Amino acid sequence: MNYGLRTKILLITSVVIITICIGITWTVSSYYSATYAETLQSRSLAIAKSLALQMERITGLGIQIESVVGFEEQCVEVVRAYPNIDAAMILSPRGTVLFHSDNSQIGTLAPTEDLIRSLNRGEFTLKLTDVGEYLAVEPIFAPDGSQVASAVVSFSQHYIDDGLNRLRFSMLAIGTCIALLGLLILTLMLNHFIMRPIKGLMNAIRYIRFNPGDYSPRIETQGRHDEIGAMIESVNQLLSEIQHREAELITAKETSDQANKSKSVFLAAMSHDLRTPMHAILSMNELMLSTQLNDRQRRFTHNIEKAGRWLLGIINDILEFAKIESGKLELLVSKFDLHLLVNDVIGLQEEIALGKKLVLSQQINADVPRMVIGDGPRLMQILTNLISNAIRYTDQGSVHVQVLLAGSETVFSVTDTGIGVDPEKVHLLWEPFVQVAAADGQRRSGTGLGLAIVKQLAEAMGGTVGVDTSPGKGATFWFTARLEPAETHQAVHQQPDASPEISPVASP
Amino acid sequence: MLGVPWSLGEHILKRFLTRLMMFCLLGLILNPAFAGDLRPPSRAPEGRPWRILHIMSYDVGLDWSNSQFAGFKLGLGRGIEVEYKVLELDTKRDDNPLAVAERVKQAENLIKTWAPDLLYASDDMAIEKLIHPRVNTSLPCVFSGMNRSVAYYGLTGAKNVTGVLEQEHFIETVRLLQQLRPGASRIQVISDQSAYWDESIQRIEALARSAGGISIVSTDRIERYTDFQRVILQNPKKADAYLLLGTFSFKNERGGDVQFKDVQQWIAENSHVPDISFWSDRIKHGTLVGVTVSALDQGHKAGDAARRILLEGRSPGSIAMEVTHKGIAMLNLARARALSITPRAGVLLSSVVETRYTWTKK
Repeated sequence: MNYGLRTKILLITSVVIITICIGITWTVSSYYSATYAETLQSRSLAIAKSLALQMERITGLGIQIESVVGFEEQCVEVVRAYPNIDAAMILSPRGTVLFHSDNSQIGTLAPTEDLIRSLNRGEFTLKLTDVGEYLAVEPIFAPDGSQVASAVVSFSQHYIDDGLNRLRFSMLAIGTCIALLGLLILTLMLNHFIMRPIKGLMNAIRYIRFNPGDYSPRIETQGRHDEIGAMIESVNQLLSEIQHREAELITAKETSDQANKSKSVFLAAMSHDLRTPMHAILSMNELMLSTQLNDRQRRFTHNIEKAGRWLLGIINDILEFAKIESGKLELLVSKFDLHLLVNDVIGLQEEIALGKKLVLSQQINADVPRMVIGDGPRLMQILTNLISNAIRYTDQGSVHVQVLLAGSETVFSVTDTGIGVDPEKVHLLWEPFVQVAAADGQRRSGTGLGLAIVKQLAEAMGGTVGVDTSPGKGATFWFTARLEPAETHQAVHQQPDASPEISPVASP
Repeated sequence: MLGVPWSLGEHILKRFLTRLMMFCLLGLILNPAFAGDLRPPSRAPEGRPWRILHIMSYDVGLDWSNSQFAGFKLGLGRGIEVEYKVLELDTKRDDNPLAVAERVKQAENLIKTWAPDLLYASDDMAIEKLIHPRVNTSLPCVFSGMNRSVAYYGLTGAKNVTGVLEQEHFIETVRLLQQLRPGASRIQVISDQSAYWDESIQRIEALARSAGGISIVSTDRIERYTDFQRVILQNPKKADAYLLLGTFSFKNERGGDVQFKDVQQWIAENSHVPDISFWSDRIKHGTLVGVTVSALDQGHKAGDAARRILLEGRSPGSIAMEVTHKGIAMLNLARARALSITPRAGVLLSSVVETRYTWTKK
């Protein structure tokens, strides 16, 4: 039922009141019906007795009952005096009507056989159910003690029914008035004692719902010490606690953000400071390679160069990540050739792929515009990162790069046939400084910042990142980016054939 | 062991019953009605019972006279010790002036010798002969059944006299007659020559005029019985009914008084005209119907006045003389049968019905 609390309480109360009213009405009606019938019977019997006494008084004067004149006036008088009496009559022992309140009945036989039988049996009361009449019968005796007639008084069942209906109607009317009055009082009391505080509570909750983070509203208890007052106090206390915790959290977040920013600044500074001597080392090493070295020295120098470049990559990653974290990442908005960019990236990685005897291929769908506006170098960085990762984690098979359009977004995916990633650890891939163990259990080189940087850059370009993988079955890393097509260049370079451009760029 | 609770129970029961009896006794003593009975009855200042002399105009053989006296005693009530002396002027059976004068003299002597504390006279003759001469004397006088006016007997403003006047229920009587004989409206008034009926006849004529639909076709004041018989038999005025007023002190051919009972029997046996009257004695003696004056009510009101005079010390003159209005419908069924009248049930039930004549009763 989608009714309010007040409506439910009122409905329940109405049902209870109506049930009580019906119960009382039924009980009183039953009692009334029995008592009223008994009273009417008793009164009718008394009236019949009175008529009998009057007739006996007349016969006591020595007048034969057949010689009595005008006794029907007494019968009429009785009917007039008692509105609930239908008829009064004097019947001979054989049932002939001697006197009747209705003159037309005089001389006829008694209305029913039951009554005639009743006269002979000497019954005092009789109910004629077929005609719905009650009869009171009183014998009339002559001075010598013989029964000469009977006085009969009748009243109809409908008097009882009418009285009962009037009673029911009155009780119903009174019950309805009481019920309405009770419900009105209940409504007012509910509004005052329950609904008003609950409404205050709901208003406060609604305010908090539509004003996230603002827990300032408080509900007035209005001096209540009942359950609702306790509930309001509890809610107020809860709000105070939430407000306090919220303030603490904000403070903690601000502190954390500040610490994170400081860390990023420190890392950026440190990386910059590390990169300068690294460049110097690499330059000096390059100079040393141009000198006369024996084989052993040359091998050592090459190792120095390799290690130095690896270290420089790490430093660059840290510097990049620190820049992003510290909010210093600024994307370029410039026109570049996307196809050329993809080919260049592939080209840079093809030698490494050949070194591992992997097939490196790329596919750019035909609807992908060639000239786009965006940050080409950052896009190149993302692709380089994903392809180098794919080569690193693939020992045999292939690495395939695909570019396609999905609505307004450009989708880049790198699919390898490598070792894959445990699905339970996929969510950790994008976390910074996290090295997810490879499915083969071997640790591969890396800072653990590569994919975190990919994610940050993709999101900065208005896209998202994701991976579809299962252990031993390779992986497809993908990301999307919003790249605006450069119309003029596109118009110039658009090819009539819409078929995708697939080209293996490296094969063993 | 078993005796202990029984003894205790009996003890408690005895205490309860004793207290209950004491409580009831106390209640009875404090009850005003019971306390009144415990008080000694009122007596005259000399310490003797109050003396009341009752003078009847008629005789104790008449219900009218007896009922008035019975009502007087009722009105006087309890708590008073009274010594009564009753003297009959007996004017209904013997209205010879000399005989009446003799009986009045006896009454006068009794007043002198016995010195009653109060004189109670019933009906006009006793009032005329014994109260009228004592207006404004020291003897308190109370009367009932007076047909004539207060002024006629010089009782207006009398300090020592009060009483109850009798007025006839004429209209009610005729209406009752009309229930038995519908359409009966021509009434012939028949009375003797007693002077105290003059004012009654005047009242009846005035009432007939004011009621409408009722006419007094003739008023006959008859002295001789033969004249009365002739009028009754011939019905010269074609009346629907005779109104028999008074005690009928008719004289026979020898000059003697004709007894009331004989007159009534002759009417019942010979008259074919319905007759009405105002006194229960008449109905019992064969008059068809009448709304009679309540003799008991007359006497009761007189007794109540006497009580206030004797017990409360009220002056009779301070107690207003009043007229009783209570009437009793009476019907003589034997007479109705003789006249071939079948009374309707309503009349039989609302009237005192005499089924026989007094002379046929065993």
